[in-house]
Amino acid sequence: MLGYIFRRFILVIPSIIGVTLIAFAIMKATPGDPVLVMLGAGYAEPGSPETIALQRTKLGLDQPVYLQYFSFLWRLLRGDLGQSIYSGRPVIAEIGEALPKTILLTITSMGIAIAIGIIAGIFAAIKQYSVFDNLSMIGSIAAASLPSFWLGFIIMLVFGYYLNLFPLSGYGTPAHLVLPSLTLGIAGSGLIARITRSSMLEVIRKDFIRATQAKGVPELKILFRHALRNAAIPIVTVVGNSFGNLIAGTFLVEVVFAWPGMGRLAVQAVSQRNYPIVYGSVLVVALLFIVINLVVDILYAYIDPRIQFARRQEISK
Amino acid sequence: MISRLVKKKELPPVVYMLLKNKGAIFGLIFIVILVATAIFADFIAPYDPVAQNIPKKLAPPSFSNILGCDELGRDVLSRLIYGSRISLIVGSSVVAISAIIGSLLGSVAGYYGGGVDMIIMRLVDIFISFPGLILAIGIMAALGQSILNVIIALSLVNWPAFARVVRAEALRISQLEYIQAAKVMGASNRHIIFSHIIPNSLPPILVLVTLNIGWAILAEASLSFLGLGVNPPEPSWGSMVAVGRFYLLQAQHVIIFPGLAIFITVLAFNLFGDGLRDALDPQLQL
Repeated sequence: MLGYIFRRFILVIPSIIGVTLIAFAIMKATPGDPVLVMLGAGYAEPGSPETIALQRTKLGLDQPVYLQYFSFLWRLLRGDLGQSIYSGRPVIAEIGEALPKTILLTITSMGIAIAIGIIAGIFAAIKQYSVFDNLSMIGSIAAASLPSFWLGFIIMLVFGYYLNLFPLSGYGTPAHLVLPSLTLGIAGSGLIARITRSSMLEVIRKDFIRATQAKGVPELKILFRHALRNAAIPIVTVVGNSFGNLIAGTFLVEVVFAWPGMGRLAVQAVSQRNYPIVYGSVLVVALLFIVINLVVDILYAYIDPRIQFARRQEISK
Repeated sequence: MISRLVKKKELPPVVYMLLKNKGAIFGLIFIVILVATAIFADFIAPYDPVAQNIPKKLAPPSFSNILGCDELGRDVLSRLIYGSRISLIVGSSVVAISAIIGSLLGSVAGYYGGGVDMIIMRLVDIFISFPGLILAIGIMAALGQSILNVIIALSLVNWPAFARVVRAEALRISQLEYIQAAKVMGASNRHIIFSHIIPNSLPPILVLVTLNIGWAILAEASLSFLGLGVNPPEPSWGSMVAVGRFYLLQAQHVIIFPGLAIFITVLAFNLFGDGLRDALDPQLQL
C-alpha cells in the first residue's frame, strides 16, 4: 500500500509541472504589457520610460522566457502568486480567504448530490422498469443537461423569493449555504444515480443477496448493508470523477448566489482585468483538483486492493 | 412510418435499436428542427434580434411577442432563434476540432506505443488536471472575448477526451490479425492508421461527438454567462441568462426562456448520444 501511494505521488509531479507550464503560457499569451497594467491601474499617465524599465527589471521581464518560468516556479514554491492589481494585496491572501468557502460549498453540494443520487439509484434499481425507474433515469440525464447557473436562478426564485424559505443570496449563516448547495447537488446527482442503479442491478441479482433474503434479513438492511456495499466501487469512482465538474460548477453558482469563494473572486477579477488573481485562481484550483484526484485514487486502492495490482501493471507498462 | 419499418426489421441493427429508443428519437428530431431553425433564422425569426424597441421594454409574452421582450425591448423569441446559430456553430466546431486532434494523437499514441505514447498521454494527463471550464476561463481571460476564441479555448479543453478513447481503440485494433496481415503486405504506418485504425474507431468517436456537442454548448453558455464568451449584442443564450438575472424579480420570462433553450438542446444531444451508445456498443464506458 505504501509503495503504491509513493508511486502515485511520483506520477503527480509531471502533472503539477505541466499545470504550472500551462498557467505560465496563458500568462505570457495575455496581450498588453503587465508593467503598464500594473503602473497604469487608475492613472492616465503610466509613468516615465525609466520607471517602466526599472519595474520591468524588478519583475524579471527583461530575461529570457525559460528563466522567467523558473523564477515564476520559485515564487510559486514560496507561495508568491503576485499582487492583486485592484487591491494591492498578495494574491495568495485573497485566495486564502476565498478557497475555504469554495471547499465548504463543494463538500455540502457533494453531500446533496450523493444523497439524491444514491437514494434515487437504489429505488430505480429495485423497481426496475417501473414508472419511478423511468422517471429517475430521465431525471438523471436531465440533471446532467441543466445549465447550473440557470437552475440556480430558478431555485433562488422559487425557494428564496416565492416561498421565502432561505436567503436569496450572500454568505454568513448556514441558511445561506442551502440554495447554492441544492443547485450544485441536483446538477451533480444525475451521474451518481445512473451508476448506482446499474451497479445495484448487478449486485441484487447475486446469490448472496438471495441468501440474505431467505434468512429473513429486513429489506432495508439488505439494501444498505449488503447490496450497496458491494456496489460501492463504481459509485466511488464516479463520485471521485465528479469533483472536477463540481468545482467548475461552483465557479458559476458562486456568481449566481454572490457566494464569496474562488469562482466569484476569479470572475470578478476577469471583468476588472485583474490578471494575477485570475491566473492564481486557475492555478490553485488545478492544483487542488490534482490533490483531490490523488486522494480519491488512494481511497480506491484502500477500498479495493485489486486496483493496486491493476494500476501497478498499468504504470509498469 | 417509423413503427412499420421497425416492425419489419428490415433495418440494420444499429438503426433499429436507435428507432426503438424514444429518448434518442426525441433528441434527433429536436436536433434536426434546431439545425433547420439556425439555418433559416432569417426567414423564421419574427423580428430583428438586435432591433431595440424601448417602449416594449420587459414586455411579458403576448400575441405580438410570443416569448416577450428583453430589457431593451428586443424580441426574446427572435434572439433565441438567432442564438441557436452561436450554440450550434460553437458546439460543432469545438467537437470537430477536438475530434480531429484527439483522434490523430490518440491513434498515433496507441499504434506506435513507447515514448511517443508516453509523451502524448502525459500531455493528456496535464490537460485533464484542470477542471475543463476553469481552464477555459483562464484561456478566455488571456485571449479576450470572441466566438473564435471560445472555439479555441473549448477545443483545447476537449481534445484529450477523444485522444484517450481513440488510443484505447488503437491499442486494441493494432493487436488484431488483419493489421499484422496489412503490415506483412507492406502497408505503411500512415496507411494503417488512416485506413484501418481511425475508421474502426469510429463508433466510440461518434458517440463522444454527440455527447460532447452537448457539453460544448453548455460550456459556451457558461462562458457567455460569465461575460467571457461572445460579445454583446450578439444574441448568445448564455449571455441572455446573464442579463435576465437583473430582472429576475420583475420579468422572469427574460431569464426562463434562454435557460430552457440551453437545457432542452443539451438534453437532446445527451439523449441522442446515449441512444447511439446503447445501439453501437453498450459496453462503452463514456
